[in-house]
Amino acid sequence: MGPETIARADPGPPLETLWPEGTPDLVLFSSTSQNTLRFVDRLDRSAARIPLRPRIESRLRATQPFVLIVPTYGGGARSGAVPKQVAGFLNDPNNRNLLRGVITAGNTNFGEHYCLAGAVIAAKCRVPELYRFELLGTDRDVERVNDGLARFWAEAAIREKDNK
Amino acid sequence: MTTTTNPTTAGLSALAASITPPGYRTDPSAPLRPINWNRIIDDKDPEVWNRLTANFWLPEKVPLSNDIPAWKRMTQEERTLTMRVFTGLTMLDTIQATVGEISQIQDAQTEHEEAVYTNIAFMQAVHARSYSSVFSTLASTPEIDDAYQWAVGNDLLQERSKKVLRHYYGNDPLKRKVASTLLSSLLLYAGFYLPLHFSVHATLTNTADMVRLILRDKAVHGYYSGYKFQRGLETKTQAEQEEIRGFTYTLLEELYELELEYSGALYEPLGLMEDVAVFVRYNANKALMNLGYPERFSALETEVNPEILAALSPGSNENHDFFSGSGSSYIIGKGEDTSDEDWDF
Repeated sequence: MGPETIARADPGPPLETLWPEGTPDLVLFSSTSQNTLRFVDRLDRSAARIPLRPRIESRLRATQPFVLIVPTYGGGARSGAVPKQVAGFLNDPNNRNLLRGVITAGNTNFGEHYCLAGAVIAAKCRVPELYRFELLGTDRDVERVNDGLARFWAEAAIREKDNK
Repeated sequence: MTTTTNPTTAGLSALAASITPPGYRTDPSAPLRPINWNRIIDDKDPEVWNRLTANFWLPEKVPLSNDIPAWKRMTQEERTLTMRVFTGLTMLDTIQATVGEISQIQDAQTEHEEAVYTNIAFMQAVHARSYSSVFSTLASTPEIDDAYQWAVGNDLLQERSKKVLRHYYGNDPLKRKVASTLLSSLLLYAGFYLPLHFSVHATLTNTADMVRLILRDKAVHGYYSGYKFQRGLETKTQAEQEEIRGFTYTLLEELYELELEYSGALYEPLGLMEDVAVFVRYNANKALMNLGYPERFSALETEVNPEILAALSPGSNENHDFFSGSGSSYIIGKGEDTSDEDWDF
């Protein structure tokens, strides 16, 4: 192991306190490229970001059901497809139990591995894979995800009511 | 551990003043520093390096000779088109291997980025080499020579190559990155269309498999150069950023126009150009996204033929759009089992 050379910025407050009213219904992971973050910034809902360096920053703990948006680390083996921070986040049974669906960013150039992270998470956590988009996403992708999430949560609310 | 000495302040400052070898050109008196992969500045560098080395391949691994029966069934027109399209691709990959990627080494923001570009440059040389493998497997020496004569004499092919090369030899690192990204993510794709089209018709399927390996590499190259471009861009003033943005969209427009002309002459006789143009626009948008810019072409202008998209990536169809209601493949709770190695719960 090489020495830790990442500048250790002030870790700041634990992330839970950033969401005093609870975490939003959207959680994302985005690497330092910020590609996925930029897609989420164009959606009309707030989202909590899984920390890039959970050991330095703090861990994110969801407080209500959420949809996850993740990029695929593409081109290699299936095992590397899910970013390790996302796997760490979902290793927490609390977070895994609140996961309702997954949306994935990828690149069709990766062929059969296109958006593989979404397929792996959906299979492992038994949730639907809701949508796939490429890179930063197009305006059409933004529109479809906005509409889709609105419908998805409206239907979830109806189901919840019926169950009561 | 009593034998470990702490680095002295003087030693550390000498290290800080040192340069990597490309810096010799501008500062020959500065002390040189060997690359140190144990001091990472940007996590993307080792991440991309590891991805690139894991994806390494050689054309010898692809059973191209299985395509000989299909090649014999193709018309003369289709064969000539294939030879020319692949010679055109060879031109672009030769540029990238010998100039395009190498020229970005001097612009690197970290020493590890310098190393990554040597890897990318070599892989571009493998890509350029791979089309020659297709030729030697399928075609005769006179056919190969004809294709190279055609390439050298084709004004449009020459113009689009030189339009990009000019910026590689220019003095603006960000323009170099823009030019390189547009070459890798826009110009190449009219060429990649052909093997995907043939594979849809069960023709030259091994060649298509080889091209899929090339496509996988190009995605990583485009991602990395685009990422580094954005890191460079954010250090610039608002006015400089605006200038680069204008440059990007102008160069894209010029290359797109040239591409329509160049590829039109190749594909129109077979009635494929409309489809090719959509594929080029779709990839032009992706080139821009790699650079962090919004798309240039609308959704309607970039609706790639579903067969081609499926040949590119079987998972790119509407079955993965749960939101549209057409996703039939989702039955919650019936997931396939993944092993613990996939994911350590």
